[in-house]
Parts: sequence; C-alpha cells; structure tokens
Amino acid sequence: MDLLCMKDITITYGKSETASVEHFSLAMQPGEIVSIVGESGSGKTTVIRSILGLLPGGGKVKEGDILFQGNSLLNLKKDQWKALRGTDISMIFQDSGAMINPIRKIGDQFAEYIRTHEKMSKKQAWERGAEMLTRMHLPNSDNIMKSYPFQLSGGMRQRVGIAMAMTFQPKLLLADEPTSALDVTIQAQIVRQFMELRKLYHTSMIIVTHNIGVAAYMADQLIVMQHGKIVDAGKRDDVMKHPKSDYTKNLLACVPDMEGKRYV
Amino acid sequence: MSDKMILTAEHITKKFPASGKRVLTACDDINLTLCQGETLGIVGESGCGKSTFVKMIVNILKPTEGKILYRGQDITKLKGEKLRRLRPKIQMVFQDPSAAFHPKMKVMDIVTEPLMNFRLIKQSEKEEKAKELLRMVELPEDYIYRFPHSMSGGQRQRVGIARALALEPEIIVCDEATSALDVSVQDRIIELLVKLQKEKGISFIFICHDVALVQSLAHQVAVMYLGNVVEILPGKDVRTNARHPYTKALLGAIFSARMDFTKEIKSIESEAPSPLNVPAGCPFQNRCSQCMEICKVKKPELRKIGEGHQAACHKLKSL
Amino acid sequence: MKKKQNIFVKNKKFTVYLILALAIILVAVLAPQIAPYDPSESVLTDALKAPGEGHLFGTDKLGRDLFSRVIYGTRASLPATFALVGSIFLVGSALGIIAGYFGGWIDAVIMRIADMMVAFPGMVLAIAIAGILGPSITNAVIAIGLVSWTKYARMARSLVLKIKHDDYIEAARVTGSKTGHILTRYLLPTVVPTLIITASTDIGGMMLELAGLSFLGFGARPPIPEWGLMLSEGRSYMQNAPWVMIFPGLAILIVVTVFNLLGDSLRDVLDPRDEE
Repeated sequence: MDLLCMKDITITYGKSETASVEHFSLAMQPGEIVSIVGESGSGKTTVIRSILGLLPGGGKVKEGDILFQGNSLLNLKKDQWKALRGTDISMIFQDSGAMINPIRKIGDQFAEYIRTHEKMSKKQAWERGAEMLTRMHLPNSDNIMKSYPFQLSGGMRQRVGIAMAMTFQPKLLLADEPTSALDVTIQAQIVRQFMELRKLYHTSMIIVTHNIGVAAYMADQLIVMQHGKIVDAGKRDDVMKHPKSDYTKNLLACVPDMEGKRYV
Repeated sequence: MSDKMILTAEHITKKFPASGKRVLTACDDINLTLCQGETLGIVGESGCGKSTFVKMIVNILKPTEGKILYRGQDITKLKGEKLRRLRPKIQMVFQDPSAAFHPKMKVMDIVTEPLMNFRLIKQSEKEEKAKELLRMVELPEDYIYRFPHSMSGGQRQRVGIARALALEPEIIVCDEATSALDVSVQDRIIELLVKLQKEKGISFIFICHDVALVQSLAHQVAVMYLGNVVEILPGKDVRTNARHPYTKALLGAIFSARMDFTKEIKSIESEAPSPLNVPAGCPFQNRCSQCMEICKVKKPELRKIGEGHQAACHKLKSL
Repeated sequence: MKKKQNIFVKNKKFTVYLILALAIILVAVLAPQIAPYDPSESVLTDALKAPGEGHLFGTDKLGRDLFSRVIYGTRASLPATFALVGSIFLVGSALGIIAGYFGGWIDAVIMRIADMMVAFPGMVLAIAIAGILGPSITNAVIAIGLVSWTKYARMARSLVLKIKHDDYIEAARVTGSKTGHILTRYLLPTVVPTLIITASTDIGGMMLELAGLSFLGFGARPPIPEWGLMLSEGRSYMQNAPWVMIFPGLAILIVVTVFNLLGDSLRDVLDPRDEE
C-alpha cells in the first residue's frame, strides 16, 4: 500500500472558478523523498498544505482524494486531525522561527508541544526535547532550550523546527521551502540532515522548493509544477536528464552553475 | 590596468555602535578596485558586510575609516550639493523591487525622477523620455502609466534598472538585484544587464550570495566573510582556481541542476560567529578544517598568490 | 470629482459625521441668524427663567437668553479649538519629521524640549501660563498648545524613523533628490494621514480642555458666551435652575462626540492599508 496517495486533486480558493491546483496526482512509498519544484505561483505550497488540511482562506479540495495509509484525509474531524498532525505527519516551514512564539522560551514551547501529544511530566518532556535537539546536532541543547527564538540564528531555529517535527518519528515529513531562508553553507548542512534523518528513521518526505538543485539532490521522485499543473514528474534522473516539457528544459537551463554559461 | 580603474576602495572600515557599548564591525579594512566597463562581483553570506560596503559606495553610509576614490577623488568626504552632483555617476538597483519605489508613483514619474532632480528634462519631455527608458529595459512603452505594484517582480526590477540608467551613470551597484526573482526571470535580467554593459560600457558592482551566478557574470570576484575580503580572483578562475577554504566551502555547497546527485554534498560545520564577537586571528578559524595555531592568533592578510589573485590565508604561500 | 463621490458612498459613516460636523460649523457661521436674542443682552427681570415660551432654553442669572448663548458658544469654542489643533498639528509634525529625518543633534534638541514639555502635567502648566499671561481664550490656546504639540512631534518622528531607511527613500537619495523634495514628496505623504486622523480625534479632547480652562477661570472671560465659562457661572444655581448647566453641558457633549466620531471614521477613509 502507498504511504500517501493523492488522486487527481483539484484545489480552489474561495469562490474563484480557476483552480490553484489542477489534477495533481502523487503516490509515494515509505522512506521515499518526493520533491515538488516550481516558481512562485505554481501551486506547490498549496499542494503540501492540502495534505494536512491547512489550506488558508477558504481553500478547498474540490475534486479527488488524499489517502494516507489507505484512509482519506478529507473530511477528518478535529480530534482525528489532532491525533495525526505532529505524530504521523508533521510539517516544517520556511522559517521555523515564525511558528514559534517569539516571547516564550524554546524549551517551554517544545515541552508543551510534546505534552499535547503524549502524557508525561513537564520535566520529562523538557528532557525529551533537549535530547531531540542533541540528535539534530545542536550543541549545548540545554542552553538552546532556555533561549528565546530571536537569540538563535536562522539555521539553529530551522534545526529546532526539524527537531520538533521529528519528535514522534512521523511517517511523513512535509517541508515547505525548508532551506530557502538560509545561507548557502547552512542550506547544505540542513539538506544533509534531512538525508541522514531518512537513513535513520526511514521517514518519507515531501520537499517543496523553488531551488531545483536542492529538490533534485534530495528527491527519489521529482515533480515540476507550473500554473497549478504538473508539467513533469517521475524518477529524479528521468526528469533531470530527459525532461518532457519545454518549461522544465528552460528552467534547468536557467539555474546558474559553475560549468554553465558565462555571460562575460 | 591602472588607467582603467574607475573606483577604488581603500582601507574601508565601518563600525556600528551596538547595545552595551559593544561595536559591530560590518566591514574591516576592505580594499577593492572596480575597472571601467567591468563587473566586480561580491559574494558572501548574510552578515558578511557586502551590503554595508555598497551602501558606502553609493554614499548612503559614510565609512568609519578609509577612502573611496572615484576617478581619483575621495567621495566619502563629499557633502550637500557636491555630493548630489556626484550622484548621477553612481546609481543603484535594489534587492526587493516591491520596496524600492514610492508606492504612489507611476512608472513614468519613477524613471524620470532622477532627470527631474537635476533639471535635465522638462515636464513636457517626461513622457517621451520615460518611453525611451522602458525601451532600453525591454518593457512595453505603455507601462509608463502603470503603478509598480500592478506589475510582476521581473517587470518591476526592469523599472528599477531603467531608473538607474536614467542619469547615464558610469557605475551601477546591484544589491542582490535578482535574488527575489524566479530563476527564469533572473536569467533574463542578467542578460539585460550584460547587454547594457556591452552597449554603454557601464561598470557594475554586483552583490550576490550565489557564487555560481556571480562567477558567471563578473570579471573580478571578491569573496567576503564576516566583514573581511578573504579572496579576490578573476570570475573565470573561480571554478578551477579558488584557493581560500571559505571560497571552496561555498563552491562545495552549490546545488545545481547538473551536479552529480549520487555524490554527497559537502558542507562546512557550524556557523559564522556574530559580527559583534569577531575572534582574534582568522575570521574563518572555527569552521576551517585546516585551522592551525597561528590562525587563532594572527589575522591573515590579503596577499597576492597568483596573477590577479589574492587570498587571506596562512596556508597559502604568497607570490 | 468622480473619485470623491465614491469616497462618500463607500464610507457612509464618515459622510454622516461629516454632515453633522459641517452642520455645527454652519451654526457658528449663521449664529446671528439663528439666535433669537443678542447673547449679551441682559434683562434682569427675566433672570433664571425656566425653559419655555420665549426662551427655549430658559435664561441665566442675568436674564440673558440661554439658547442664543449656546448658539453663540460655537463661535467661541470652534475657532479656538481649530486654531489650537491646527497649530499643534503643523508645528508638531514639522518638528517631528525634521527630528526623525536629520537625526543627530537636531533630533536631540527637539526631542529633549518635547520631553521637558511632557514632564509637566498639562493642565497645571496651562494654568501657570494662563496665570502669567492673564486669562483669555488666546492665552488658553497658547497654554494648551505648548504642552500638546509634543504628541505630534513624537508620532511624526517615529513614523519617519520607520521608513527612513526603506529602499525607496534611499533610492530617492541615490537618484539625487534634494532634501526638501524627499521631505515633502516622500516623507510627508506617508506621515500625514496618520497625523490627520490623530488631529481630528483630538478636536473633541482639545475642546474639552479649553472648556475646562474656561471653567476654572483661566480661559474665556465674561461676558463671552463660552460653554465652559457658562457651566462655571451656572454652577451655583445648579439646584434651582439646572438648565443653566444642562444646555451648555449638552452642547459640549454633542460637539465633542460628533468630532470624535468624525475622527474615528476618518481613520477608515485614510488608512493607507485599505488602498488598492
């Protein structure tokens, strides 16, 4: 059975007639990494948000179905979502700092997050959080637990976000532009971390990014989107070496690269 | 080469006061040269001081120490009307094309404002001139009646370039001018800039965090780290001949469409220290795999290590 | 013109309050036509007459027609209030923009003076100034103005500081815009809407302060028909002739409320976020 199966999804916002995402399909196995790449307005973020039922502002899956381990994710009730989000499926955003409360200590929020999903004492939850940070290669995890979000660099905040998302060893990790706000050397570290997590925990991931290099490097399956539609999809090497659509070909040609064209 | 020099930064240092009597050193003794009709690329990560540096070039900030010579004249000391008279020579294109324009001005007023500032055209000539400028940046002429916020990111950035071109400057500074754009749009903007350079002989200073992009369009590339220039080399040599460990780290961290996906990505460990706490010695010491004792004590100076090639590293022998 | 009509249709609340405010101003302009009596004409035999035929609001202790005095009261309060708000708005904003844009010692001097002004309790300073200069409406305006401009200066300064380093302002400098051009073309338009909203909501409060000073005897002097003064004069007759206080009080209440509501609804009209 597929871990996640999206069947011919069409998503619209509000009363708008035009669909933000049209006929999107995807099937992924446990342990697989799927990258969805596209430019702004391609609908890639809408796709990933629809999986967790987090479409903003009247967004709705109009057609198709989303199955997670065979069960539909459409029309789940509140407590069913609560049981699923954070434990079986979790999500990482472009800037994890933005989803942490800026005026509370990381540790308090981390412990609270753990306790909403599992019954344990505050102290246990705190220790569990610190341990997760250590596993994410964050030095001085105790210090970080006692810090406020603004005291950490973007890269550290992103690791905290990953640590929180990985706490319950989710089967599926969704990441929306997880490295786009980071410096290039930090981006490389975070990408390595994702690959290591997959190796250790066999976590499946969907990575949404505009960075084709990052997307391709991580992916088993690669999906290229434009204007809400899939224009290329398949095994990474197939898409990269033999792209079908002109759009993908052009996109690949535009990525700056050391061996690529020189303008001067 | 010296007769081609148009702008030289000499020992530029910029310090900002920070809370608790601390000092933030954004730029530490920067020496760079821009040659006529060429592009100087400056690459580095956030907080390396590259944006602060160019703000001093366009005279929005004054350096704490050092000189910036434009055709032999120190422009950092200029004030008032003298400074304003210099402005037409050095123009700038900003990173975020949605923030770089007065929200209530139409494209026509935006691109001709520089000319009106210097009374170079009359009110009645605005329309014609605005159309001419838009043609230069390959935008439809009737866009002069639009507001920037009703245009796409790439189109807005063209408006930004048109404004920078209006005064026919000798130097244009681009601060991450393509970073907010999609890659396909970025590619077209770069082609436009290169075309303009070839037609008009404009010199560019191009700031970017993407070393792959910078080396593809810059004649000279300067790599900055924590307020210091750590390596300067010709753009065409970056791929084959970069020597400084930090430059190599940047090159190793590039994700491209043509990379070997089976090879593990290289990345240096940890993060850059805060510019409030720059360590003594080499700024890169805590992330360098070849760090030696001397690196923790003595700061390496930028030295010539090859023809047109300078680097600041104790490991490298000077020429 | 078409655009203007749209503004009124779109903001019905604002239109209603604007009409009410204009009506009040019209009352001031047409006071001689509306008032049945001369406001200072006293007929001692008619003193403290209850509201009724002949005297709609009754008469005061000197037998002056209260209705006429309340009507004429608009002529005392409105110009003084507008002059006060107008001058603190202009002076405060100008100083605030200059302090924010130039920074350095100019900023320090302007803002330290503002700090000093804030350190005084407003009413007390106003009383002191009125005490020195002698009580009159003009002096009351000066007194309150001296302590109130700081609010506009602070607000203008912080608004300027917020946008001073925005790309589009720096771009204006790089393209050779003169300082005056940047101040008037770039800073003023972004700063002014917020300040106008503040000013219009301030009208009511300032009117109250002026009335308060007059009530205390540091503003308008008799026989000027000023509402605060009328309240003060009627105080001792509150028991047996309550109308002497009720009608000037109501006048203050209504006018202050209308201008406050106008200020609030102006916020909806001018809020820059609503554009596009």
